[in-house]
Amino acid sequence: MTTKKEIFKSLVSKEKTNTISKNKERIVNRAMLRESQQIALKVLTKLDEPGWSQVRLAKEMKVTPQQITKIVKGTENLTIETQIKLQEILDIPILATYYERIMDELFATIKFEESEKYTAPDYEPAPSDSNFMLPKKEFKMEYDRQTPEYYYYPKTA
Amino acid sequence: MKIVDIFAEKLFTFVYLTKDGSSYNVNEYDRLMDLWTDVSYLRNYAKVNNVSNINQFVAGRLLDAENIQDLLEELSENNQPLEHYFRPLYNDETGFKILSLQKGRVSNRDGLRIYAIKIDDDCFVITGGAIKMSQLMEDHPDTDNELTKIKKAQDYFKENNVFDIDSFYEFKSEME
Repeated sequence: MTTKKEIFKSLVSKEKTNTISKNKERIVNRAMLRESQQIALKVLTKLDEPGWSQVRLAKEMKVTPQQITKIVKGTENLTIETQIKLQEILDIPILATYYERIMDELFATIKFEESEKYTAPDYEPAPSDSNFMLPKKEFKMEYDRQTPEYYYYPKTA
Repeated sequence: MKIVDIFAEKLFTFVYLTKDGSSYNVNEYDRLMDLWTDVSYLRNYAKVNNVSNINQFVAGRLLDAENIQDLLEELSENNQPLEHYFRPLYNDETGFKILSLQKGRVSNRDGLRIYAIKIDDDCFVITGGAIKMSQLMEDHPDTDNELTKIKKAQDYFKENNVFDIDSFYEFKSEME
């Protein structure tokens, strides 16, 4: 004899949702979805600035407003082409090239110029009876072949 | 409205008719998860509710949604009791209660709530859910609406003599 529970089971199977498989799919695609969400957040933040709207963005990207609606949901697997368009039109960082370009421009503007020559300051030599340790005096010795004599020069810093 | 099975004859969900009554919405769990993973919806929700740090709010709810997804996966894969997620809606509820009103939350920091009726041990029917914006459900229109929905669902089961898993199955087969 078929019980009510069994009848129920056979009926409910027809109505089974695909919730669990959808849930699994979200977990499997999590890394992509997180990136997509971050992009959507950046796009929406930019669109809050005066003068911007989803309609204007759609026009400049040459896509339908419906496509912009999808992008800002943060659930789309965006192509690199779409990411480049968003980055360039909205001037927001999406790909690594955004910061690489900034760094390139930054280094291009940095110039190394020759600074002023160093001039040693005047100073009073310490008295000979002072207790300070003086640096060891060094001499340079050169032999002059013409005079055949040795010359001594005190070395200077 | 109708009731559909999410998994393992343990977790069910209501599916409500669209406003014009011409067709059914997606089931409540899927509807909520679609909203809670929609950046545009969350950002707009934060604005409408005058949230001070909008992007932080959005990031928080997206993370909450991921946590619910992970928990549902864990519960379904390991066949763990649903009581790990659901607890009585009213914190002072103790002991056994027929058709207990329940709320699902992953942790104390969870900003999302799924509401359900407990039919029996390890058997729940989701009635809806909302972003938690106030301490009391009555203090925000969304949670207040969910409170109405869950109470209506409870009344609906009572009217149809559902009080445990057997009577629920019986009722369900009659519905079909």
